[in-house]
Amino acid sequence: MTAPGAGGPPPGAPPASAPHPGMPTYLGMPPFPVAARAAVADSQLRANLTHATHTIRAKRAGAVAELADWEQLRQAAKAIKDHTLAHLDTYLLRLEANVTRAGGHVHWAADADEANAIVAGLVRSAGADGVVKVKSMATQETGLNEALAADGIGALETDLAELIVQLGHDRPSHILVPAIHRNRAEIREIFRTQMPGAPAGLTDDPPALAAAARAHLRQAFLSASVGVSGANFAIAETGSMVVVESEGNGRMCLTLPRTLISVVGIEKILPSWRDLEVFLALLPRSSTAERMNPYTSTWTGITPGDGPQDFHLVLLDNGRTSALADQTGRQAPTTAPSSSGSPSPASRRPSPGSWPTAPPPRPVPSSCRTGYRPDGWPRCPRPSRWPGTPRRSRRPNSTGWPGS
Amino acid sequence: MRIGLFVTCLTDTLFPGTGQAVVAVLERLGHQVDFPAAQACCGQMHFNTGYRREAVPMARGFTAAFAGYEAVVTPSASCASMVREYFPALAAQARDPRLARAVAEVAPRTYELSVFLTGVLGVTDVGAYFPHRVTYHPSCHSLRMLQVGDAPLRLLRAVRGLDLADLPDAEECCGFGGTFAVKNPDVSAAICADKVAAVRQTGAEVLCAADNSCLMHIGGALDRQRSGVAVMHLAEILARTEDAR
Repeated sequence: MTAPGAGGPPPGAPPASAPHPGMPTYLGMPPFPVAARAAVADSQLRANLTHATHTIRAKRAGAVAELADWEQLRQAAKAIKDHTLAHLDTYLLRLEANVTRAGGHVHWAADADEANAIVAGLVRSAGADGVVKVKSMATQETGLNEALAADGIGALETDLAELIVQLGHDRPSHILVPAIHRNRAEIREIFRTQMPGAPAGLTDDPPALAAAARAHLRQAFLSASVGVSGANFAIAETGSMVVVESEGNGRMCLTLPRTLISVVGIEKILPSWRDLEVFLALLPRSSTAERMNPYTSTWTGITPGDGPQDFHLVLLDNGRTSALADQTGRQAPTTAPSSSGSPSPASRRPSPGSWPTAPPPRPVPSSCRTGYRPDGWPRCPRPSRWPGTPRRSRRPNSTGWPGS
Repeated sequence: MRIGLFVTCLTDTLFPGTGQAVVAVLERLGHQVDFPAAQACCGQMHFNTGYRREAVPMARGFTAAFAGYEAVVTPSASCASMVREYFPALAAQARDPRLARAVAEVAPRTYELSVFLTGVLGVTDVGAYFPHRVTYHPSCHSLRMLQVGDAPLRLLRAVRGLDLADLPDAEECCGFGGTFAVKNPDVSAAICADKVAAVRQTGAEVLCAADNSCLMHIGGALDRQRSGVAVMHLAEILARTEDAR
């Protein structure tokens, strides 16, 4: 055993917690205490993480502090999620109907293997041997890239951090910041040795690194015929998908290929656009300390002559209905569906009787004293549109943005 | 005021001086302090490790031992938060209305020392004298669970002669976390290494906290590094006067 901070690999070397090639998820990796022993001995890794997490947390605290009713917003979001999960089957069927009406196709995947097989089949029938990917935790969960590779289909990660991870034969280390464990010197080394056509004399200057990635990805965006994404939200009332990102690479994948396949966990559903407003106020501030993320892409089925002409939504269960029915294991037991027998683990399409559909006790967050309206909506005080900040400061004035 | 001292198992067995210091401070302020001999562990370790059923008799024992005191004071934010925050949940889970009533009686009157001094007694200057450079580690339970705020810092600032140094990244955990340190020793030691580095940056002679569990953990690392930084519980600093030692 090595003392912390001593004997770690030299800077630039891969972390001691070496990835396990071909292993699609973290399940099956060495137990945490064992993996941690190697990782804590890596002084470069620790320095990278200390720097990055401190920066990110300080920025988030600042962004959150700008909203006076942050906690109310969170409570409103929780009420929406609780309500949606309590009526998940209704909203999923509504989503399916509206996606289909808008020209998309909906597939129900009970587990990871089924989801991967559906995607592989769709890629093959599109006649493609490669896909460009938007950063997606759902496909990370199902091990889609490895499954596609086994089928002879290449999957190119286009999120910059996911690209760094993929080129480094590494694993993402953070749900939002997959390459948070790498510093720019390591990223330069990964690009220099692993990226086809990396520019000679590449430095570790962030703009130079970003430009190299941009050149590397651009050709793939323009030539790919299939894009694969997840979604941050799926809106039942219109059958629309929402992807929130910072770079614009996601939007390239969502708009340029002819075929778009979105693998979405069934918990990502929101009943309406009105609900999305609450989450778009919370998510960017909480995750990346931004008032609004640079790119919010939304699409509804297909639009003839504009963007993908073939859209497939793969709704992924993979244990989610079991978690929903697990009253003990869930964080908020009062919101779990009341017992009506365990749900079918193979929850493809919900059908009457096969789903935990018995009306659950309606969750009433402590801040929502008045409970629920007759139509089932929580009577939370709705957060004002731009709480806590003078509205004027957010609008461009006649002298231009941001105003003086 | 008739006060019951809840000394906690860790302080009782490893740092009895802290218990004596709590008594010294409270008596100096004119209060009568009892040590109910029937007290035992609050059950936090069992509760946090998943042995909730086994923690129930401990909650019962606590409520019996401390029934009738105007206030129960403890030199541990961690154990105070167990009593205040988790005993009610434990009683509800055990479906024991008698225990629930007993908890409702005693839990709100159970205070971590700094909260009791500043919030209940309204005192910040307890007449202490400690002419040393001190830095303060806000333990996770004091900060995030009990939310003692700046009560310990206000007490320390009022100590004559004391030079209070800001601890960089003070709100970071020290890595102890009860059984976490046993189950994940490498990660625990790594977190502690960062904490120790921050402590040593301050140039403090003494590291102070409101929990002996954290101080035991950080103190072990400081000691092995021959850092020359001592650890002292808040109560022990507040107990020092110009007359004593």
